[in-house]
Amino acid sequence: MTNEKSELLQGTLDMLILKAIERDAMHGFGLSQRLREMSRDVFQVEMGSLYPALCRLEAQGWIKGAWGVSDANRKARYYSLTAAGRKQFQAETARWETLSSTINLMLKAT
Amino acid sequence: MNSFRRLLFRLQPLFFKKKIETELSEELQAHLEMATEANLVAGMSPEAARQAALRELGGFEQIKERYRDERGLPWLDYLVQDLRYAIRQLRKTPGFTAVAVLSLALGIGANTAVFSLVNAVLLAELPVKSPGQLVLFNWLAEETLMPRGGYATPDPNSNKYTCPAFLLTTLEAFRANAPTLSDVFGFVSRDLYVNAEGSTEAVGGQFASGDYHRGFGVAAAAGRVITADDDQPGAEAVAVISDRYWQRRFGGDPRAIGKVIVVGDVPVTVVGVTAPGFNGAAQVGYAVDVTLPLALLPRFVAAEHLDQIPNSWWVNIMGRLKPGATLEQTRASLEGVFQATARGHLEVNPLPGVPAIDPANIPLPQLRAVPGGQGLYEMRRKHEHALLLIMGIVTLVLLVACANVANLLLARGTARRREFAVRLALGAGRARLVRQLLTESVLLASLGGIAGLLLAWWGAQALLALRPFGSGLLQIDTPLDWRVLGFTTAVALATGIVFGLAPALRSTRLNLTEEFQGGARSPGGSRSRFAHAMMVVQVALTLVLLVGAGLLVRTLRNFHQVDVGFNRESLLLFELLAPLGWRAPLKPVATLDPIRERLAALPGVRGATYEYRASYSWQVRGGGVAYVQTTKNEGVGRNEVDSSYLATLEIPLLRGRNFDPHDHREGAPEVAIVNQAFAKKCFGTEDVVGQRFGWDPTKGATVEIVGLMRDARHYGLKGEVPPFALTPYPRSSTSLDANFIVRFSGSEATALAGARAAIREIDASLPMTNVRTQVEQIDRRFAQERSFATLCSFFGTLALLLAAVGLYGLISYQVLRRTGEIGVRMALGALPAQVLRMILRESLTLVALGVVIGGALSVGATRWIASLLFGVPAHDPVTYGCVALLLLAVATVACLLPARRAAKIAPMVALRSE
Repeated sequence: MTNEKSELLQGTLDMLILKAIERDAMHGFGLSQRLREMSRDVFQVEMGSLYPALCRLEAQGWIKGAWGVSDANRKARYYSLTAAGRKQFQAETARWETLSSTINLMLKAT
Repeated sequence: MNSFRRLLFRLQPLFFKKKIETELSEELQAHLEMATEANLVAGMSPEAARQAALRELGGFEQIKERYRDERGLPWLDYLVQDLRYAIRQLRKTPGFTAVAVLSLALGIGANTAVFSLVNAVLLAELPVKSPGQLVLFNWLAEETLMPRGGYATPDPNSNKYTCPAFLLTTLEAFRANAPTLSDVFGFVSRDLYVNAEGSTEAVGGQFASGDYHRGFGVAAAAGRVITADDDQPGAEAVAVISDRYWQRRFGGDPRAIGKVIVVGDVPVTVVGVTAPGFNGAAQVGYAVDVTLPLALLPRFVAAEHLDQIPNSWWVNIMGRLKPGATLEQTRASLEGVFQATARGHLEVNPLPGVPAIDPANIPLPQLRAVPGGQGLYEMRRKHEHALLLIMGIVTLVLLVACANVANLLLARGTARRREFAVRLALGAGRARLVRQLLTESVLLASLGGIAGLLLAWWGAQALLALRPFGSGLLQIDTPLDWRVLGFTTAVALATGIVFGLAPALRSTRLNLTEEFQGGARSPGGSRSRFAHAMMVVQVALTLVLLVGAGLLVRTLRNFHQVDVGFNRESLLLFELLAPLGWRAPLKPVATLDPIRERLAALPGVRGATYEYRASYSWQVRGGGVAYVQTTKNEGVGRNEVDSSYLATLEIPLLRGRNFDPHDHREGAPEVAIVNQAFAKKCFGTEDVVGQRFGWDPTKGATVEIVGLMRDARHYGLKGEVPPFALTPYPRSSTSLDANFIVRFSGSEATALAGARAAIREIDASLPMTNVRTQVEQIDRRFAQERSFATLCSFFGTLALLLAAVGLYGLISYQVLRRTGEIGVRMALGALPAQVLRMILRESLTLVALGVVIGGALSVGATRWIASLLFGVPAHDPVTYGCVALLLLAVATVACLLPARRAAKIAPMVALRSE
């Protein structure tokens, strides 16, 4: 992703992070890998955007961070989705669907 | 709830900064290691893996920076950072800091002092329960309807007269008939002579109804307050004193409760002390120290005046609204009640130039109900103009101080050029630098504000002592409440930003390339322009203040030189008033003559006399109306005097004769001595001896003029001499109200001591009060002008000093900066004298510009003091010229030293240091 901190991109990144940790709790590195994987290598999130986003999400109470131990026996901070976060994710997904379908519609118009 | 949670989250870094930072570092470190490992697994060499991981992660510091922005309150971090840096910088240059803080302290302190007065007089509410629920009553009527025993003043919003006092019956009627008020109470303010702890003094006092304290919601700090039981005829005589009186007289001793004090000649028991801060609800500046129940009033009135009590308008009435009730409802419900009690108690007093009222068809007065949260307010309104004027003066001083500090900051900014250039080059945003500089200036202003607060308390008292509201000394508490503190904070903040912004912007506008390429070149012209502009501003404002001072000083001199028509030097005045509460067996006025003779016989006394109304006091202003030939009626001043009056005052008698003992007999035909103005106005000629006029249109021309005296001023100093008539002192008067005038030679103290002794011999119980000289009495007439002259002079001088110091600093600095240029000039052949002249010329051009602009400003500004001036026009060229010369002279002196230093520059040294 480019370095622009446009509102749209910020909100979208938040939503994508929520999606990424929907099933499992993840640490920062794992999250960046997962995001790359989910986007089939198109999106490469900068750490300078990821960590602030994680902080933001934690402030809102949508994810929770806790210290844990990784498979390689390393101390890492894991982020998991909270109940409120789950709800937020659903709401944001719905909003995104409406938004993108409307824009697509408008682009198809003559 | 979410935003609250978010706020808490953001506040955590304040307290757990270290922990959060450490955790983030660990987290990022872990990320780096995992990325490195992944790369290793993918087949890279260890160094390449690490490099790739580092590249992918990006800069740790950048990540941390952006994380911090999300995590905490970045602006708070910056603020704390800036503050610490600012404190360090200010400590490095103590001289600069001291000068700046001092200038600001003077400016802000003066403003705070004035504002605390404004607060106390205009804004503050009574320190009682829910002052917003209080109601004050007054009434409106035609000018010719006089309330007996009271007075009415012109209402500013209509052409009628208003009066805040009512009859006692009105108070009782209101109490019985007020559905919208939960409390109705009244009070009568009077000076009382109180003998407490062995000595007698005059104190501010009042008679209050039983529910006075309850209605206000004022509690007792000790003992109890007045209740309805105390306000019954025949109840025990009690008094409640104020906290300040308790501290002053009894030292705050709790045993004061129960002590007996003698008010007038009535012993009363002190039963309580009101809470601190409550000084009654009378006119601003009148502090009520002793409160007695209204029922005690008859004991302080002479027996033959007792019937006047219910017929006099002297009670101020206030009430407390019930919840939900409005002022309009209250007024409407009580107007009928008021008018019913007022009927028959208003006198019709015809006045010249005012349409007469048909006695059979007197229009009823209108009741008004106004918010009572500030008590009686007529005086407050009167003082508004004076206060705003003073506020304007101190604002000018603050602006001068600001301009001074702005220049100082600018010079400092130039000195710190290198530091700013480095920081800008390292990537600091200009906004960040400016913000930091602003923090420094606001910090300076805050320090100045704190010091100013300390000055302000003392300053407010000093200001009051100058009597800016006229001759009465007002007793005003100037507490440091939230409004004053808020004002000081706001002024300090605004000042910091005002004088800090421009220098901050200028100092950070740097061309980095130039700076680092050996930028000892003179800085841009814009910086000098700004400094020059500030100097011009200072000079202009100083000129305005000094012009005001000059005009007022000349006004004072003119006052002193007015020919009052009599010899005002060496005249001692005092009163043998019978104050309320002094009741010895009444002495007929025949006692006055022996006193006068005794006084006249004293060594060092060249003459003594007495008069009914004291000249130059308000008493003589309320004159009378003379009816001449029943077709003309003129307003004239009058006074009742003894036959030695003209001789003692040295007013020549031009025609006719003086009063003789025959005129003073009871029942003798009425006579008068009039002045030339009277003669010309009423009769058109000076040959009036033998003519007649009257005081009462219904009784005809009963008064015969027996003498013509030369014009003399008895009240006003301005304008034409008003017509005046003297009549013999009323022998039928049974009260002892008399003003004595004694002409003495030699020392005033000796004469005073002799007079006191003489009177004590005749009657030891007569209090001699209000002792002053005629000159002092006349001076009181322009006490306000005098106080403003003092204020303008003081602040003008202060501003002049600030501007002179600022000018010295500015020119010194410029000489320093231009050392190279001057060196070149001298190397090329310029003489030291020429250099001196050049510096002087440039500086004085600046000052001259300031003078011209200041002159233009003054022309507009003197409009505000025009009402105070006397005998000198607001645009008097002489005053303006003198002040301009003074400014130029001071400026020359201030510039001389640096200019001489410039002239002494050795060209070789200058050029080498380039």
